[in-house]
Amino acid sequence: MVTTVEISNPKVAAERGEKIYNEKYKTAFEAEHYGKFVAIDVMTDKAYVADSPEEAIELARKENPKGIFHLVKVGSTGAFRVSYTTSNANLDWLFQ
Amino acid sequence: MPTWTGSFNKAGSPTLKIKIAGPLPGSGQEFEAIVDTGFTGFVSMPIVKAFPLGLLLAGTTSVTLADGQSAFNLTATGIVTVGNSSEVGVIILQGSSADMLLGMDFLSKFGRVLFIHPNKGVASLIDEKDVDKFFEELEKLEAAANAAADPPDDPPATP
Repeated sequence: MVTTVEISNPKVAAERGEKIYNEKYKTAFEAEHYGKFVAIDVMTDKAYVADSPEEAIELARKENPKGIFHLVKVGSTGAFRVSYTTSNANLDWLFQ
Repeated sequence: MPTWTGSFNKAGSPTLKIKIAGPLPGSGQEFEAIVDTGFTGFVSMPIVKAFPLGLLLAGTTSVTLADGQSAFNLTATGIVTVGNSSEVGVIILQGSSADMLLGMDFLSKFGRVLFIHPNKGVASLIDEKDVDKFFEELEKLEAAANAAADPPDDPPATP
């Protein structure tokens, strides 16, 4: 049975990606793929693991060219670290 | 590979001119970007500057901010060109009109070492192969200096 996932905005996609990763993959991947990048297809729940973020997204795109992918780094809270803070991140207009 | 010469912006941060393009021919534009070693990714840019480039949107990601909090960002893939070298990478799209940043993945992908001499106004990105050769030579010189300072003991006299 195919389920249709409604992705209405970027925040929904990101939250869904985090949820899928945490519930389905996190425990196993932290044992097997620590430090690697994972592209989670938020439409199909599939995960694509690679050494770099580009490779993970490329793998995912090959499988589902129309997919929306949430990028995760195994073992890290964020896929990337940035040098700015919440005050100048100013992403509210996109992710609320 | 030639050394890339950067400059410093008004805030004193090292910058480099790069070209970013999407998959469509002729979509590329030149930007001055800050080399930010506190950023672990490839390139981060304001989303409004990405619109005309036609970058291929990939999805979303979570980034860890400098204060330890997390934030979501959109991601795209794009082609970055400096001189004759080009690399494809994941570009983080920021919601604000913040600076364009080049992170550690940028240095790693292009095989560059950041050399900063603020008092001389020098910001260079040197080919890592040239830097590796320099360190190899340095190790040889240090080994020769150590050998000269501490010569091996004479072999025991044979009866």
